[in-house]
Amino acid sequence: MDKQQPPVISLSNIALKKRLSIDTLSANKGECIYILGPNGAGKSTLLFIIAGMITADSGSVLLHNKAIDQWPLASLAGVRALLPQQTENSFQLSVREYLSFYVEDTAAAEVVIPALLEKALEINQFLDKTITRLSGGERQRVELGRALLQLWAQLQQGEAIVLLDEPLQGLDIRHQYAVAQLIQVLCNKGNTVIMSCHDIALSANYSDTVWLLQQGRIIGAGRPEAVLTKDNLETVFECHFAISKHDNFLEFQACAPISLE
Amino acid sequence: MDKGKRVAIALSIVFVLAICGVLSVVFFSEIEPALKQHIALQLQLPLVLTSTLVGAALASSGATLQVVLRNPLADPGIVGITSGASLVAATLLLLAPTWASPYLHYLLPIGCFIGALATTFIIYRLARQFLGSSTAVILSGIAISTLTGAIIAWLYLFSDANALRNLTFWLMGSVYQTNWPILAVGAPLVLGAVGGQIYLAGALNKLYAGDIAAKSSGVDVEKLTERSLILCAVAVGAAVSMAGSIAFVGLLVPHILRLMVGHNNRWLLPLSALAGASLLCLVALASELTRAITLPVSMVTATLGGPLLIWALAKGHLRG
Repeated sequence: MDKQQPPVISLSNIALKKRLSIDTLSANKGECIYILGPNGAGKSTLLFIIAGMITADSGSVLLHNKAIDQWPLASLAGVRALLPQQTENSFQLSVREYLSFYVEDTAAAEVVIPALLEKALEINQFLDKTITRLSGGERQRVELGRALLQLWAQLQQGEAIVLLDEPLQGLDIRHQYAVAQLIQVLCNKGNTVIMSCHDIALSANYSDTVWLLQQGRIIGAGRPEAVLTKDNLETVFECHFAISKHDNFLEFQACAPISLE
Repeated sequence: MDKGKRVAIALSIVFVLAICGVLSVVFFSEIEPALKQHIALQLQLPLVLTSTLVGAALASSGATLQVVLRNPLADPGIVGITSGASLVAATLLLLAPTWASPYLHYLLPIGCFIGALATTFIIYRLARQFLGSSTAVILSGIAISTLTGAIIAWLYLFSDANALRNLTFWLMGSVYQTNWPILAVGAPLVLGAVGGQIYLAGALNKLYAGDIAAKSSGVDVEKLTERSLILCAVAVGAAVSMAGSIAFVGLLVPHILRLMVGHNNRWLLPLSALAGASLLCLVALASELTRAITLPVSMVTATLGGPLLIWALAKGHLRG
């Protein structure tokens, strides 16, 4: 990563009611950031603020050195994608039709899933299925595909910012790792990815940077080995942790919440 | 999208045939040419135009509302837009002093139009105040409909038999109430509003993935919702003021079309307009052929609509 370049995203003095309070945070081009923290820590809120979907009460969010509220919605959609947590759908449209509304090139009559995306998500097999009949994990794969297809051209050039709220939710283990790898590949191309996640081991091994959140505050931000320490994890998650390293792969073991007895 | 084209062609043929049917009823009758011309120009042509405009407005607005409110059950009647118009109509028909009755023909459309816009405004404000979600719009719509229904029921109690009869027919809808001056005002409103809805089709498509996804893909969801609701209120307001309250068209036509052409609003909205227009032209043809001038439109659409909706439900395509 070129440290000379200004960060793609930088936040300073962000405050939003009692939910979030952040002094400074930044993301560099090509960085792969995992946000960890217990339920209600503010992971989604943080992602939404970076995406420009919620305006913070105070502080500034800069995207490519330009304040987020100065970006028109339409041009924002051309540089960053956001995957919200699952939404229900009351219309029974086919997956193919659903995706076609989000593919940039509306002139194309057929939705073509790019090979790289298909390898990780494997959605071609249910393109003709009705979206309401998919299982939770299948639906999540389709949603991921939808979010990424929105700016696939930018993703290929390595110029995109991707914000994912629990993209691994509901996925089987194989697809969890496939998606984590897909994200790594996208970051290596120069794209910046920020995603929330509940799998500590996966985060530790697949991220460049971890942001550890607790009650709307950043407990640690930096290299995973530096942030995901036994102390930090035990404070944030209130569990006992054991960390070990095997063949360069970090392993985490957690047991019963401390405060249960 | 071959399916879309095929359905478009089929609907256009039905539409043209229905219009020709209505017009030919006079053409082939045995009356003198001068009278024939007069009837065609002053009665048949307004009839065809009214049916076309009202059908297109209701069906296209229904399709738009269902997507905007993310609810397949939304319909101009259900979300309360028609109820405001009905209330104004009832008030005018039942309470207007006798000296005003010659002007009622023109007062009624204007009043209905204002009523429809006013209720939409109230419903939208209520919804924003309470929850700001699409479910809230429907709930406030139902609340407003219930309230106006109650007021109309009270008005019923205190009015005379003749006024009651007028109102009953108005509430069942009729495509025989217009003339050229009313059409001259109504037509641009309907055409403009339906055109506006079709213009928004691309943005409406993005709502299928939910508010947040739509907004993050560059659609200003709040502005889109507001604009769509206004366009629907204008179209439905104009339709109701021309033909009274007509049930089911806005609910039924879009649903059946979705089974045929899918959910892409770029196809669905124009085809809904075309299908709605064809449907009402067919109703007009039916009442011309049976010579039952007072055949209430809602009666026919509900008779056709009920079984069709049950059929669609049975096929499992409409499950929430």
